[in-house]
Order: sequence, then C-alpha cells, then structure tokens
Amino acid sequence: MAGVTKSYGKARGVLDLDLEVRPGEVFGYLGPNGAGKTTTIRMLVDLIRPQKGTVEVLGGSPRDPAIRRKVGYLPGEVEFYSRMSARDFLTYIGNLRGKGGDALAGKLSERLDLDLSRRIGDLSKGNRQKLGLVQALMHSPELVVLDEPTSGLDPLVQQEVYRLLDELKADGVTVFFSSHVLSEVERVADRVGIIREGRLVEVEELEALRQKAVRTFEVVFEDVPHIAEFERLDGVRMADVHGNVLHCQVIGAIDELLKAVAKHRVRDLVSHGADLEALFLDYYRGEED
Amino acid sequence: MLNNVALKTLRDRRRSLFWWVVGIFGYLLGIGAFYPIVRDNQGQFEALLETYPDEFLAIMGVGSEENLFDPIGFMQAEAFGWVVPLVFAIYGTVQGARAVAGEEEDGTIDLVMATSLTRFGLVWQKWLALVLAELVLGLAVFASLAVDSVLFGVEIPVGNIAAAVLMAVLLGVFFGSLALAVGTGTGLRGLTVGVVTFVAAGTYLLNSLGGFVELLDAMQPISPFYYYDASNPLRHGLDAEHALVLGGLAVVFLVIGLLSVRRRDLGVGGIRLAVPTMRKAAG
Repeated sequence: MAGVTKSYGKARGVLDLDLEVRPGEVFGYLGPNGAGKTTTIRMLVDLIRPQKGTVEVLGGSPRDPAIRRKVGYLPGEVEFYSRMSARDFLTYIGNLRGKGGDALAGKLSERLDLDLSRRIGDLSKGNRQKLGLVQALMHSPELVVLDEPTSGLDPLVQQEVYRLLDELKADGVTVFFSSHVLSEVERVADRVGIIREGRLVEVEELEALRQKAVRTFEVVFEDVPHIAEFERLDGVRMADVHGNVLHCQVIGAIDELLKAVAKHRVRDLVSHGADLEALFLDYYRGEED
Repeated sequence: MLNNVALKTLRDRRRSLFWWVVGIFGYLLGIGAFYPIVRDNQGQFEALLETYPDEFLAIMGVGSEENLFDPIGFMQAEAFGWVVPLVFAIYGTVQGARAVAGEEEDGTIDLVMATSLTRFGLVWQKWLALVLAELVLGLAVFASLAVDSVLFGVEIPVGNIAAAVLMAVLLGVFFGSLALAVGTGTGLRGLTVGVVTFVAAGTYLLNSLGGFVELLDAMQPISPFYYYDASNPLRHGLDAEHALVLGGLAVVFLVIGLLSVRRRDLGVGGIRLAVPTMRKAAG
C-alpha cells in the first residue's frame, strides 16, 4: 500500500498509509478498536477503495478477480447466510472462486472441531468464526488476510489457530492479520505494524520491538543499596528503593543493571519479561489523551 | 443450486416464492370460482356497478367502456386490473431491494465479494434471479387461469393470457430492476423499498386517474402501469411496443445498477452499524 488515504464519516479510516508486507511473512497489524485496521483490510480485498494512493496485492490489483482468488479473507464481523448449512456455504464460496477445496475444508473443520452439517444460524459465535477461518483457508491461498481471527474463540481453539498460522508460514503463505490483543501478535507474528487513529505509527520486527519493550525487575538485597547506583544507568527508568528492595523498569539491554546489582549480595531477583503491553500503552496513549 | 449467485439467490427465495405462488394461484382460483355467479346474475351486478363513481372503478382497473361480464372483462376487473400488477410490482420491489443492498446490510457481501466474483457478475446474476422468480410467478398466474377455464368456464384465448402474463412479468421486472438500481447505488434496503414503493403507488394512481383528470391524462405515458395495460393485452393480445418500453427500461435500470456498483464501497452501512459494539468491546 502506498500513500493510501481512505476516510468515511468522522475520524474513521486511514491516512497516508504506506505499508509493505513481505512474501512469506506473518504480519501482525495492531491497534485499538476503531484505529483503521478493518478499513485497511477491506481495501486489500477490494470491498472498499482508497481515495488516494494505490493498493497492490500479490503483484496485482485486488480488483482483479484472479488476484482475489489467491487470497483468503476473514472479515472482522463475519456474517453468513444463517439458513444454509455450513457445508453448503463452503460449497457455494468454493464455486464462486471456481476453485473448490472441499478436501482441505473437511480437514480444517475436523481440526477445529466444526460440524459442517449444521445450519449456520444454529452455530455459536465461536463456531461461526471457525467456519470463517475454514472458508478463508480452504483454497490454499497465497495470501491470508484475517481481521481479528481469534475473536470469539475459546483459548484452546485459539491455540489451534496459532498453530494453523505457524503451518501456513512454514508453507510459505503470507499472512496479514489484525488484532488488538498483543499477546497473540507476539505469539505468531514476524513483524508488527501499529496503527493509531488511521496512521501507522510503527513497523518493526517483533524482536526489535521487544528490545524497546519494558522489563520490570524486583531485586531483594541482603543490604540496603542506594538509589543513585541504579537510577542513572542506561535503559533504566523509574527506579525506586524501599529498604532493601529495588523496583525498576528497564528498556532494552539489561547488562548494566545486572552488573550494578551484582555488586551487592542478592537474596532474590524477579523479572517480568519484556512487557510489550506497556510499550503499546505508550503508543495507544495518544488516543486516550 | 449453489453453482452461482443467480441459482443460489433463487434457492434462498424458494420458500417465500412458494408462498407468493400459492397466494396468487389461490386468489385467481377463488376469483374464477366467483365468475359463474357474476355471469348468471349480470343484471343485479350491473345495477350495483351503476352506483359506483367511474373514478373508483378506474382505480380498481375497470375502464368505463369495458364489458365486465365476459370472462376477459371479468378477469381484467378482478385481477389483471389491480391485484396481478401490484403483486408482481411488489414482489419485484422487495427482491430488487434485497438483491445487493440486502446482502450489504446483512454483511454477507464481504465473503461473497472477496472471492473472484466480479461486481458486474454479482449484479447481473441478481437481476437474472429476479427475472426468473417473476417468470415463476407468471407461470402460476397462467396455470391458475388454465384451471379457471376448465373448472369455471372462464375462457380466455391462450395467446391473450400469455400476453397479459408477459406484461405482468415485465412490470414486475421493471420495478425489480428499479429497486436493484436504487439498492445497488445506495446499499440501503429500507430506503430502496420506500422510494420504489412511492414511485409505484404514485404512478399507479397517475395511470388509474389519468382517464378522468385532464391534467393527468397527458402524463399517463410516464407511468409503467400505462404500458402494462393501456393496450388491454388480455383482450387484444400483446402490444409489442409497450412490452419493449417496460423491458427496455428494465435493462436501462440494470445497466445503471451495474455502473453504480463499479466504483462504490461495499457494505459500508454495515460497518457503521458495527461501530458502537466495537467501542464497547474496547472500553
């Protein structure tokens, strides 16, 4: 996507968006609700069209039916024909694509424990979400675009979906998925784009992002240290000493802190792993102010 | 039935279409059963009709010069003058509005249009389904009149029945195509039904009263109902020109629908509706 602008109504849409997803990568598209994730995704399948800029998918335009045939798409608020059976729906979608996928659909449904013989209207929200996933994956697409794929799924099925995404990645399929849940992006994505109020505020390798993330440490000493030993160290912020206990947050490398700590006798040390959540809250904050 | 949009749409409509068929078939059968009574008591009915103003009879689709007591005049007055065209027009309006706008409002358009189906294909096949459904309704009318002829002696030449049925189908397709065009242009089903119903009701009255109100007389030809029955196809057979006007305009509406959906955002109405729930989830 290059220079893409799309707006409707007040403060909805995306502004001057440049975004490139590399072939074969799993790209997590993160942002709070209403940030423009769905707008971006619906442009990728030509449901809506940008006012400015260009959208290119798999080397072509999403307006080209031949391109869309190679894309699997799961909408954020997935809706079906409630009177159809799940199996009939998959047959219909397969026919519209001119590319069946019944065998794979059967396998995927089995894996997700989805009963295809049931009327869609009788399926729970979670099962409808599974059906949405099956139709998005059943034709072995080259690109998979998923809008909040795990919403409505129970944690066990969520894990299964993450495994599916891992397998897609192993098969060289490009995955673009949106989420407002950081942990799932952490679990499956190679790269992350963060969108806020229609603007892309960050695109990073997950690893690089982790480097920027905040770790918290709680160190219990045998003796009572002085705060000055820690608060000026590289990467350390919000250091605080109460008696013989140090609380602090570190961004990036922790080497300096550990060396400073090692000058004392240490009774206990607790570290809370890279807390991307805190980082995202920083990114999100602008919206709440 | 799941091979393409047209067949799938017919499949979705099969239950409701069945009841429309039952309704129109039953109505015409009931009217047919009434015919022997009217025929045998012509004098009394004539006296009764004398008491009605011509304007009222016109709204009921009865021209003042019409013989109401032969099978054709009777069927024209009781069915083809008002019930039949209104049924076909209403059915067309509802189906035309549902065709694209309905799928957008239901949100089902997302998965359908993310396949390799083109927008052109979607609209064109929805239109085809509409035409086929109207034809099924037409067949029901035809079949019912055949039964009326055998059971109740309502004898009308087959060619004339076919002509009248064809005009009813064309009228239904006309309003269906208009609704398809409005719905495809706006993506709003309720608005579409409202607008097209307004047009249908207005042009129906215009045509009915045109013969009496001088001002409206000259305006009759802008009413689709005028082309539907000004030539009285049940009595005189098909008027090809009038058929062409209705059919041609329906095709024009189809083209407008095809063009208007080409550049538009799909399912945006649905997204707007989804916003409050998303906000809630965020909070």
